[in-house]
Amino acid sequence: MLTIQTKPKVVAGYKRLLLSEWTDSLPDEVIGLLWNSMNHITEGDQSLLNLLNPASNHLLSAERFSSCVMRIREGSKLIRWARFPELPTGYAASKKRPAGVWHANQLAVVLTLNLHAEVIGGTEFLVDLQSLAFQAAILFVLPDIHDKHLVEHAILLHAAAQFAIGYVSSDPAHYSFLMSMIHGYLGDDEQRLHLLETSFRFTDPQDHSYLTRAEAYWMELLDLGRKHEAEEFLFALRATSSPDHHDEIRDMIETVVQSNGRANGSTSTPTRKKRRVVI
Amino acid sequence: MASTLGGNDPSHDLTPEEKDREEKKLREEARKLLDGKNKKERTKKLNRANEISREKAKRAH
Repeated sequence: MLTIQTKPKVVAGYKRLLLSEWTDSLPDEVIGLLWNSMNHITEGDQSLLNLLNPASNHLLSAERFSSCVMRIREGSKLIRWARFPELPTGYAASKKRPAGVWHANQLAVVLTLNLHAEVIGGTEFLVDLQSLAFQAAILFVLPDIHDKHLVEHAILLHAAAQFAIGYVSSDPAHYSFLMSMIHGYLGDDEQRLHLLETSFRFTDPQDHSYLTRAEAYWMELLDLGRKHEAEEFLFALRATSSPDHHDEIRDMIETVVQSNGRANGSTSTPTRKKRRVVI
Repeated sequence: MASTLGGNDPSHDLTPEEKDREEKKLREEARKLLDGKNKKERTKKLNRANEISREKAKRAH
């Protein structure tokens, strides 16, 4: 049993992470926050605590982690996405591992913690920390281990997907946004675009994230060279949105009009002369 | 003690004004990265903006 406590210092650390630039220290910071939020008195599972301990010097209980992988594998039987790698059947973790793999193993356990232990106390705060762990996995750890540690890469990818699936019924817009990150990471641009559109469509116009999800969608259209669709989307958005969004949407439209058609700059289309959009 | 950080608990959550201000700033920064080869940085900013508002209360008016 693990008890999560919402200590003021940890809450302050969480807010600081939300409001600061994310760097490659994010995995360490998230794991540290989770560690500091836990009551370290467990009932009968010290090996799980060792897995989560930032100070365990990259040594972990190989048997315990292998059993975690078995549970993640069971949970992944429902996932049938073409680009997802298979999980191994007889995975045996090694005791000593490089930092990237260590992070991958820890984050895989963090993202699926409820599979491995009964968690009580501040379980909603745990979800907040897991959400940052998801970001750390996608943005930093998976790209870091992709080339040399395929098995650990697959384990973390499946753990991230299982975390995202937890939002399907409670917050489908957020689920779609998280899955767009996974498919974007896997290089499936069309599926990422589809999920970003789904995320936007599920979002209430009064939600804080309404314009953020709109922007993520039209930028992806631009990345795919679909500038005309991006423009049409933004004009329709302005027509249906509340007046307090109009100034920012106009800025978005100007940005698209002045772009050269591809946000990632890979097009050979010459940049148009800047022009003012009158709306 | 159940926390609703990331939810609607005013003692733990960012204020609606903080959320709107931070998200708007991140969206603006993302737009400035549009013409460069900065997709990863741009995506990171929008991910953070989305994370700030995750499961949050409705916008204040």
